[in-house]
Amino acid sequence: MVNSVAKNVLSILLVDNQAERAAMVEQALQQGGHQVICQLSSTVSLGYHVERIQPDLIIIDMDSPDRDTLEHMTVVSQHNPKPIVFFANDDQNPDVYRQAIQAGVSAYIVDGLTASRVRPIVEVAIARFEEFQQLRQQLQQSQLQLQEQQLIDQAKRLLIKHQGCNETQAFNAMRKAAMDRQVKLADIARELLKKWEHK
Amino acid sequence: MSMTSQQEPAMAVTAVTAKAARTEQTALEKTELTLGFIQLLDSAPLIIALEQGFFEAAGLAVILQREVSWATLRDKVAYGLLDGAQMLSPMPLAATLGLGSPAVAMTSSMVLSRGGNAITLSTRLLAELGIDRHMPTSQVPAALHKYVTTNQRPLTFATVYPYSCHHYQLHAWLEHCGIAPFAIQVIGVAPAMATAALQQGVIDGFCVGEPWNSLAQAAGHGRIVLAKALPMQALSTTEPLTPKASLLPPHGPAEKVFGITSQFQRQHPNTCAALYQALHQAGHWLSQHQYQPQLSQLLAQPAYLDLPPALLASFMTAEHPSLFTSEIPIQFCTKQSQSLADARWVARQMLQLGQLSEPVSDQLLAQVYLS
Repeated sequence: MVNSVAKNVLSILLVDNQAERAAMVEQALQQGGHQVICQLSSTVSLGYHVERIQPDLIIIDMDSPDRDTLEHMTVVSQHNPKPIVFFANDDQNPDVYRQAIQAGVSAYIVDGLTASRVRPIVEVAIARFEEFQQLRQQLQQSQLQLQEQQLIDQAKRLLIKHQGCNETQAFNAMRKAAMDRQVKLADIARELLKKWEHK
Repeated sequence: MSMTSQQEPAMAVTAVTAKAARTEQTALEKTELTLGFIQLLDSAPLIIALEQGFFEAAGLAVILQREVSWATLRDKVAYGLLDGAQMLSPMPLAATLGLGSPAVAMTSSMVLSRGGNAITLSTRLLAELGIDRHMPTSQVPAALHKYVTTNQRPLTFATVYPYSCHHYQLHAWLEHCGIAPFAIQVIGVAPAMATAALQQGVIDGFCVGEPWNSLAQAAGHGRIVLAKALPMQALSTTEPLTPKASLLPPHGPAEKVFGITSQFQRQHPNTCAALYQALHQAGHWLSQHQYQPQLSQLLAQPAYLDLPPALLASFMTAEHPSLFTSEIPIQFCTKQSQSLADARWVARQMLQLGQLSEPVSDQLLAQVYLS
């Protein structure tokens, strides 16, 4: 009989409602030779899925309400042949868990899996979650920059129109105001727009 | 650097005022705090302490962060991503003992609330039990017992978390109904998911905190079958550990507590004192203002309970004029009220449901709940 704990390919249940992120994690884990099953939407029947799939490892988004369903299973499963436990204790790498929380990853494993087997998988998930976080931050950042540039252009046009100056003069006036008051150029633009709005 | 601050009179003034404020508040070790809460009516003390400026008056700049699961809330407190949080009363003990998670010493000397839980059965199950809406809920236990013992379809009930009063209360009620342990499957469902699970037929009943019982009932998905006087003594009467241990706290067990790590408490005693003061003020304010219709609007906001304000307001009727004295009363605490009786009650439930293999010493209970 093949002991699931000893086999090479681990089956992983991935619970994440961020489809894009789930795809990133799935791809990375499959490249590592693991079998991945994705659960994209939140479900209270998670217990049923876990029993049916019998995964060796469950990777779950920390912001999923399904975590409480799994936590309950860890208590109930203490009496089952394949008990599920919460993965956090890793004596060799105690920081892995803190890093996991910050990235938003949590994991539950079948009792008996060694930390050395699970850690690389959790690390792959953490890396992909972090990558996704960075991508989202970059996107927000570039959206903000675009928005601010539009504000600055709009304010510049108003200055040109109302003060009769040229574009360079308008820009320099705004830049000087921003430097004098130690605020962002976009903040000066926002103020100007607010001021001219009422005229 | 000193040159710069001399050239910036406005900044210098700010620094002086801040310094004066710090001295005044007996040196708070930390003033900027992030606290966690769950989408529940009994998170009100935290919301009110923020909205009514009690935190601010205590010298604290607080950010309230809503969490979707108790497990994540616990982990964030344990690893310092949250400074403290509203917690289920058994949670600090479970975390300290390392039940279901790595052991992290936690403490909660402050009770936020008592009561507020209820048991709701799905409309479908009630129909199968032959209980229509005109019949009293007192007939439910016998009908449920008959249903389960005559091998009808297998039932699934939910509680919010394995280490919660809800879990113990549901099991006590099932025992009260004469239903054997494991005759009904009990699963965990996060509070905000419970109503949907009941509607979808994934579960047949639940024991959850408010407003989720009232919402399920209002939407016609279920009916509250047990609200007041949950039979918590049912568990306490069998096999008493010591005569004293079987005593139930006079106003029912502590339901939600304010939990922090022991390390946080050791390192921030003044900040903790300021926090407790603000939360007690909020409890006091709630007892005085619970009849105000605006209260439901405040709590319903997207950042807090995220519910239609009218829905929450509909809880306040002529019969039940307060948001917290509805069918399922919640009592908020206005003073330090954690007692050894509360702690012993929690430890006892854990032991009786097999969550603990041996009794917990009073010394440890005092460390977790009274320090």
